[in-house]
This record gives sequence, C-alpha cells and structure tokens, in this order.
Amino acid sequence: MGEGDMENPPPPGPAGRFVGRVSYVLAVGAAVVLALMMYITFIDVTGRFVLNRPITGSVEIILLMMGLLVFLGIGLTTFEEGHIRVDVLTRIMPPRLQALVNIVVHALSLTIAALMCWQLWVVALDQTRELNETQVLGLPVWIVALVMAACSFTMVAGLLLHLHRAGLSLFGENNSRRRPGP
Amino acid sequence: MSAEIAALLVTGLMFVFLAFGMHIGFAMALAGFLGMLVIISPDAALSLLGQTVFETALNFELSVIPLFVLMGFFATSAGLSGDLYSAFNTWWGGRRGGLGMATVGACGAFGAISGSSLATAATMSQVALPEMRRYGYSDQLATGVIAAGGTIGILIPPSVIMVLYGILTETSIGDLFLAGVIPGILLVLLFLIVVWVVTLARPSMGPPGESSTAAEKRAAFKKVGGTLVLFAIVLGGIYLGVFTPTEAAGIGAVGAWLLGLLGGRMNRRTFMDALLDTVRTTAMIFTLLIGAIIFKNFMALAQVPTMIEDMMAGLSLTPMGMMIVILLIYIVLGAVLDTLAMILLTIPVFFPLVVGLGFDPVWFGIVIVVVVELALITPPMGINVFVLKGMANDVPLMTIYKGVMPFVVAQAVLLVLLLLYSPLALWLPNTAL
Repeated sequence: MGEGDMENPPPPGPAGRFVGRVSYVLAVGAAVVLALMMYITFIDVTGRFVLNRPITGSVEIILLMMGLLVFLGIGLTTFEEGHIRVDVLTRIMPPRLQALVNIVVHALSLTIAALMCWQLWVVALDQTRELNETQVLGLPVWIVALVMAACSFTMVAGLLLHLHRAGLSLFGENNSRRRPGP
Repeated sequence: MSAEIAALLVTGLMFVFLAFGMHIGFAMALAGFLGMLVIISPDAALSLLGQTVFETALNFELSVIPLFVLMGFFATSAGLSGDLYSAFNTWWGGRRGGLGMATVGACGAFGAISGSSLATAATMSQVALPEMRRYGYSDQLATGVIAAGGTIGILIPPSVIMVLYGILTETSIGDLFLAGVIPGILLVLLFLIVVWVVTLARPSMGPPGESSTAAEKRAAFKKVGGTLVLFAIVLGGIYLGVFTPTEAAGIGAVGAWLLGLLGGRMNRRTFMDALLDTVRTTAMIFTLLIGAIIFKNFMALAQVPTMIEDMMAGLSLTPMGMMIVILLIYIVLGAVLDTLAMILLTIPVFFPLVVGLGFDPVWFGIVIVVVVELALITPPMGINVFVLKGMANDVPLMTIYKGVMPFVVAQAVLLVLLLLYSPLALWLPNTAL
C-alpha cells in the first residue's frame, strides 16, 4: 500500500526537474490559498457571531479557492507519486514483469488524466466564452476555470514522466541482460 | 451490450487495474468512464467527465476536507501528541499497564483534533513507543496498543472518512461527527479494559511507570487544557448548531495553529510544512473523490444498486441478516483494500441497498467506520501495523499482529454493540440543535 510512495526516486533529466520545480511552485501557491481560506472561514464565523457582520459572499470566495487549491496541488502529488495505490500483488512480481505492468498502468492513468485535462479545458473555454461570474460578488469563475485547466497539465506531465521512467526501467533491465557487467 | 453486463465487466476491469497497482482514483475514473461509453454517447460521457472534475473541485462544502486535514497537521507539528501523552502519563503512568492506558487516552484525545488514523498512529509511536520501551514494556503490547489506538482517530470526530461518506451519500456530516462521539469514547474504554486485562494476565508485559504528585497532575492537565477547549468548541459548535462542519473546520485549523504558536513550536517552517502536506493530501483525496464520483455516476446509470437489491432479495434474509452479509463483505475487502478506497468503492453499491432495507444512513456510516478500523489493523494488510513496523523496524511484523489481536476483539465487541443497539450512535445527533 503506497500512500506517498517515496521509494521511487524523482524522475531524472531536465524535463523531470522542470516539471518538479513547476509543480512545487504551484503547490506553494496552493498553500497560500489554503492559508487564506482558513483565515477567511475563521473571520467569517467570528465576524458573524462577535460583530454580527459576516464576510459577504464568503461562500463564493471559498468555492473558487477550492478549485485553485485542488488543481494547484495536483501536480506535486502526481510528481511525488502521492496518489494511493495497492501494490500487494505487484510487489511480489519479478522485476521485469513489475516494470511491464507499471508501464501499462501508467499509460492507463495517463489516458484518463489526459481526457480529464482535455474536458476541463472544454469547460474552462465554455466558462470563458460566457465570462461566467459568481452571483453575489461577481468573481470571475472563468479565470479560475482557466487556471484549473492549465494546472491539470502538470498532472498529465507528471504521469508522462512516470510512464517514461517505467519505460526506462524495463529498457535498462534489457540492457543489463544483454551486456553483463565486466 | 446490456447495462448489467457492462457493469460487471467494468467492475471486474477496475479490480484488475487496482490489483496491478494503478492509482486508485484514476482506476475508478477510467472504469467509470469506459462504462459510461457503453450506456451513453461518447460526447455525453466526455462532457460528464469534464463536469464532474470541475464541479467536484469547485465545491464550497468540500472545503471541510482541507481545513480538517490542516487542523490535524497543525496539531502534529505543534507537538500536541506529546503534551497529551505526558498528561495521561502523569495520571495513569504509575499503575500496571499505565503507560499503555496513557497511550490509549492520548490516541483518543489526539483523534479528537486529527481526522486520520495513520497520522495518529505515526505521531503516537514517536511519542509513546520510546517511553514504553524505557519502562520495559513488551514490544507486543507497546506496538499493539499504538497501532490499535491510532484507529480511534477516525471514529472520534473530526474524521476524514466520515466526511467522504457524508459527501457520497448526502448524509449530514455534522450528524455523523456527533454520532461518532459515544462509540469513540466506548472504544477508548474497551481498549483501556484490554490493556488492563492483558497486564493483569501477564504483568511483565506492562510494568508500572513512575507515579506523579497531585501538583504534577494539575500542571499536566493545564498543558492540555487548550486542546480540550479546541475540541469542545469544534464539536460543541456543531452540536449546538452554532456553525456548520465546514466552519468548524476553519475554526479548528486556526485553533490548532494558535495552540502551536502558544506552545512555542510553530514557526514559519512548520507552518509552511503543514500547509504543503495538506495541499498534497487534499490533491490525493480529491483525485480519489473525483474517481469515486465518476464511478458512482456510472453505477447509478447502470442501475447496479437495483440489481444488487434484487440479488440480495433472492437470498430471503432478514434486514439484519443482510447487514451481516454486507459487513462480512466489508471485512473481506478490508483485508486487501486501502481504507479510503474501500469506502469510496463500496458506498455507491451498498448504500442504496442499506437505506432501502430501512437502516439509518448515519448509523450505517458509523458502523462502516468501525469496520474500517478493524481493517486498519487486521492481517494481511492492516496499514496501521505497517506504520508501526516502519517506526520500530526491529520488531517483527508477527509480534505487532499478535499485539493488536486483543484490540481487534474489542473492536468486534463495539461492532456487535452498535448492531444490537443503534441509539449508541444515533442518540447524540438526535438531541442536537
């Protein structure tokens, strides 16, 4: 069972480092959003009870922040292999089979993630065309939708890196078979 | 292809994905999406996919998840587990098995500010394991009590599992939280009894620690006063209808942060670490949740719950008989599946059936949480046992499993009590304002 499975080293190469860096910076953005969300919720509730003055439209603010929080952070979780998976069966497989299975499941994950990313863009572009805003405060939902769609690329990129690495590990094993060490 | 066959194929396919180590959220999403393709047009399936992803993330109610997770991370980095443990230690440490009892108490109290069993087990093993070893506790009892104690974290509110159950079934999260209180306290008591009985039978397993003076006890109590107040505000606020669980989560997070500041353990670094850890966990949970909702949508479209209802009706069992069959299925699944995945996968299938049989949704939520707790420490998976193994590498896995067994019995007792007497869970939410 791997929750935050950190046994795997981060994907190598400049592309890996770039995706890692971008995902981390976005996650720091998510952390800032989260801190603000906490303070806004707190001030909203205390304002309502102590001063009888809640923050107008706090629901709308937090709603949009949620979209940002989830998608700004999704790249880092994907990059660090932080998604939960069951590895009871794969753990007992021979390494080469493990690598092969890894390629298949990463390719499948990549497929559905790419579909999600694509459809999120469709939603975001719809929102943008209508310049969709929240009802009370008139906050731009479309901008948040665009940011979410853009951030979902980091999820796809992270999975692409893992697929690439899974491919390398199978290929590398092949190599070592063909050329037994000195 | 008929919807029934599609449903069977898709469910089978998903289990293959899962067994091969695919990320659970993506596996559920892919299986659900493929199933949709059979029932509705590809365009409709794609657009439903996009809408589900967008609307699940952009949801006000769900802000309860990151905020409660954050509260737990703040509580961990604020070192509240250590304070709680030493407080319980001054009260009980002097008696036989006292350090073990203190561990149970501290796990319960920490569970009241953290919604995660893993976090509770991990932080408690850092605090309590060295102490118990110092006083000559057997590894079996020391690791067993922490692994089992950690499971209390998801029964005593706040609880991430309850939030997810509430969202998927549209059951009141506030009611679920309140319903967890009495069973949670009962479980703490049962665990205390287990420690007492074990050390009564074999005193060498848990020798007494140092006794404390009355002044020391008072001082220790003062140190954890803040934690107790925070819990009282969060849960009391929900109980009295002063605020919603979402608002309570915001208050709780700020409160745990303040406790850390007051204790002098919160600096910019730990603050940022807690935020980033919450961001990671939130993205992980939402990926699971999005996958689960896509899968749930497919199951509903394919009318799987009705199919299962018909199938179960063929068994001609009483409602309680059905419930026992369902729980047995859960216990088997719990042996191989991750707990979050187990809830998210099975609720869309079983929940409509259970409600159709006339069971209370809140009560069923609590029963499910207790079953999940069992799954957390029973072989061959038992993730809490693995957490302990990670923290105490020199202790054989078998020793930890042996250590948790008496606690498994206590959990089973709680489960039976809940089945026989539902007011155990439902009385508190029913009296809430």
